[in-house]
Amino acid sequence: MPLDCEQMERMLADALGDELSDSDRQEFDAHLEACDACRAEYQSLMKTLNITRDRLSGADVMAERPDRRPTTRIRRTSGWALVRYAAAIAIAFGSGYAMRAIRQADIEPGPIATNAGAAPETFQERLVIAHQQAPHASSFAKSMLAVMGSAASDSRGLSASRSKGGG
Amino acid sequence: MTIDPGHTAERLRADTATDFERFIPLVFHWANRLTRNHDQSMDVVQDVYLKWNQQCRRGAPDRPEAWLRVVTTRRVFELMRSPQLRVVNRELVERSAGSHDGPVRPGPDSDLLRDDVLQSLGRLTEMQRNVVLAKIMDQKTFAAIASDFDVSISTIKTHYLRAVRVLRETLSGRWKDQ
Repeated sequence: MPLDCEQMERMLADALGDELSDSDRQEFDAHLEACDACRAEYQSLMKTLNITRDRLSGADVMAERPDRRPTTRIRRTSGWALVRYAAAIAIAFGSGYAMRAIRQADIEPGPIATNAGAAPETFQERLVIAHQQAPHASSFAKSMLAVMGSAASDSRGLSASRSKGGG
Repeated sequence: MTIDPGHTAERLRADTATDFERFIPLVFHWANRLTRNHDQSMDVVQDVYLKWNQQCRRGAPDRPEAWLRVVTTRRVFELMRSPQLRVVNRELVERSAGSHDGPVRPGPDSDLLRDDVLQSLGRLTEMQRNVVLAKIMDQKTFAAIASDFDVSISTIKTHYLRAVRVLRETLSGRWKDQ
């Protein structure tokens, strides 16, 4: 009994996958000869498969062999790991620098011998003011305050301490 | 009898490494047929090996060959979609457009992007791609593929037919121009 197009559709996957039995193949081919639409559909799908198969084959590709063993050691360092390392080094240097600066300044709360009303000029002066304003802050925070010059804006505290100490 | 965890871990590493060794040629073969680039294929083998180790810590896959094929093709197509490849391709196209000596010879990375068959395969769903590649690269039967993925044969055939039709949409331009 000849196949109809609906039956052909059900057999199409087997035909394309080369899994039709001999008897099914004969009926399939017979319908293809009689039906233009099914024949066009089948031929276009077969062309597609042939192009794909040709692309995935090739004597040069098939002949190549692996030349080294994989390893569990990760050779590439991820970008984020580098950022973390750089940040850790920057913080370590910053803290060390701040500690050194504070030791050199020999910080003690007290007046600064500068002109009255003048803004702190040196890093050492700003560091002293930062300590006065935030005695419980960390060494790193005080050094950051000194760098940003935020203590220089508090002129009232500076003037008061200077007038107390005199000349 | 006490079990030394260090010895067990060492033995597990040895087992998984030995097990993977016998699959290296196969993984490389799949990757190389897709990428057509030796170095990229070796990179894929390395990445698949790391995933294999991770998987084996949870329990070795029941069907290692099927598992490796899925992971290998997934890695190749992840590589194809990476932003670095798009940058390389855009630079090559710009250089080619401005060149008076003719088109610039594309490098291996841009070959992936200019490869219309690979691009077409990239448009498939993962299941469709796995079925098509198992059929084309390994000549597996529908029954074997169904067993690998633990689904029915009719499901595999449906995936296969849909996949070939999607491939046809992209590749039909090839034979229309001929």
